[in-house]
Amino acid sequence: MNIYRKLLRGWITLTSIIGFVGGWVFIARATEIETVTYVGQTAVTMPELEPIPTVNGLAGNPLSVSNVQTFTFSQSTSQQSFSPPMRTGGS
Amino acid sequence: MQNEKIINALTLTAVLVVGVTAMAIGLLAVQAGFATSPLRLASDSLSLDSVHLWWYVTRAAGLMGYLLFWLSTLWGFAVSSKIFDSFLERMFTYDFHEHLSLLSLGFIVLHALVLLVEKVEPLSVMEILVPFVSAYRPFWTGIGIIAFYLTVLVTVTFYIRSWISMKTFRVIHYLSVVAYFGSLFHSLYAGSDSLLSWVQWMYGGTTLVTVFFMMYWVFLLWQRRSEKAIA
Repeated sequence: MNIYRKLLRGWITLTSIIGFVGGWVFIARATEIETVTYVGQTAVTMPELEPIPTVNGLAGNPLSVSNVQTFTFSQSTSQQSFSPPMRTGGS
Repeated sequence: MQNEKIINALTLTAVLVVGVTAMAIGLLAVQAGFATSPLRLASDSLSLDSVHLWWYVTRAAGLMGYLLFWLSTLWGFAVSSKIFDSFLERMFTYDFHEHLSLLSLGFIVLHALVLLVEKVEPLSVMEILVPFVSAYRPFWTGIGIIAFYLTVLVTVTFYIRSWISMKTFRVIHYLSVVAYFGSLFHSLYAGSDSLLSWVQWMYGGTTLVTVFFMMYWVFLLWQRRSEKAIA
């Protein structure tokens, strides 16, 4: 076979493989960015959410700490004074 | 000539097998923790750690298969219209056309085989081989399967050309146009990448170029027939 034909075949094969790998990288990146999901037949683009601040990040910023809602648990007085209505009569 | 073609086909298969084996060894090396910096970079770029790895591979193979098939179809129109005859040897352009078809088939086969193992939209052997039975978009998947069979049929005629008449060869080759549009609609309506803007531009551009070459080819065909009728 003509050497030029061999070279041409080699070139197109190599280019195709490079194109395939390039497409693979591009698709992987594009998918990560666009984050498209499907609900039945309909494509839904998921909204980008803001990153959740870390606890350490909040602790380092006094302003942020003031905004943090504190969770307190207080037992209600009704629960403290709760007495079961059923009593046994005893023997 | 026939033996040479068979040897070429076997060489191409061997190159693909060696390439895939090398890729598999590379993947194993990365996963086994032998990753050096360039390997790590390659691993990150190709998302080798991703659970969707095979999903990316099948999509890339499908897109590459479509592009090569488009190029082969376009080249076929150009060869038939004798566009390259003034500056390229006909045997050379014909050989290139045949090689593009083979490569295209290779990537389409890879696209189908990976769909068997990936987890996002897994398909069974039956769903891949039999048109319109797939759970995922059955109509457009079926169109893609038919387009693949037509492409195989057209490619096979390269190897049995000496055994069939030129008229049969041409009639079967006309089916490649149907196969091209089948693959286009399959890619558009069954491909998950159709939502990406650059993919839409790619499909739009390739279709426009194909339609242009096809119109030119039809015009030349009509002109030749008219000249024959007058003579």
